[in-house]
Amino acid sequence: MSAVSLSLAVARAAESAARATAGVADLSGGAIGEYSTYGSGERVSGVRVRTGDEPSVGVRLVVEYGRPLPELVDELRSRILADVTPLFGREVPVNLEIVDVTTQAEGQQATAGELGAGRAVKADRGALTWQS
Amino acid sequence: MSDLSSTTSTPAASTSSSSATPSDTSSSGLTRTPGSRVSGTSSGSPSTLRTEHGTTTIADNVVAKIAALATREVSGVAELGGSVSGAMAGVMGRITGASSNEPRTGGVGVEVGETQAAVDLTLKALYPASIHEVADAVRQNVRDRIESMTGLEVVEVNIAVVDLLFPGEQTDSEDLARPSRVE
Repeated sequence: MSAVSLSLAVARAAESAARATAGVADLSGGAIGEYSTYGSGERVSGVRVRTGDEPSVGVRLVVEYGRPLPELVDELRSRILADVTPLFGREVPVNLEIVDVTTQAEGQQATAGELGAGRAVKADRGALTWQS
Repeated sequence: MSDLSSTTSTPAASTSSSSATPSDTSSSGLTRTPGSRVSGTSSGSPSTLRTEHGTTTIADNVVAKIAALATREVSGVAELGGSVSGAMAGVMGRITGASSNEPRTGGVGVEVGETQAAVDLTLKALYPASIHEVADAVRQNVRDRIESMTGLEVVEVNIAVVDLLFPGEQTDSEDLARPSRVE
């Protein structure tokens, strides 16, 4: 397996592990997608894979408000390790960076409920901004 | 409303954390001396936890947003931030196109070390809530949320209550934060 396809395979595995973990809202490739893994005309955003003498996997995450992060990162790290260890042939460090936190639409409504109707309207507007 | 400096001093002093030293009780809850309050601070670097399987980093921004959300969960809090930061956030939101469902962190200052965090909040209370009770509830909720979500120990939560809003008044400065009023 060449170095390029190894890093892409690892990045894909790490991405799907992250998406399967409860509490992970998204992966973050940064403002201009600089934190990404490239290969075969494809880009995996938010994952950076190092191969070579000091291999490692780095993932940048946006999490949902609520789940304890120590628990989340433990679960995610085990998932990633389970998937990428066979690809590397050995255990590699998995570095996780939590760069942002976000609220789900339902979390917003719960918050809005406590704050009155004015903010609930605002939450609806927020949810609908993709239309404009 | 416009004279923030006079409204700040008394409530800030009366509600500041008991663990704070007198010098921490500054009139603006957001002025702070880096590295002085939390252990393991390495000049503004985010919280990093090293394990044998790699590192985990939590950005300061994440801690600030958790503090902002936890503050807004308390009834009796009208809004976060003083007039200036609220207006600035609204203007900046328009310029940068930040969506209105993003938690705003205006009025929140955090200092994050490797294992500890300190939080400064500027907020407006909602009449006729008891300001002491609101401050206590905010302090408790912010501490609980940050400690349970990030594992960081919260060493202090300083709260400056800079204004008192009446029901119906609190949406005034929110107008600035709205990206658009037409569909």
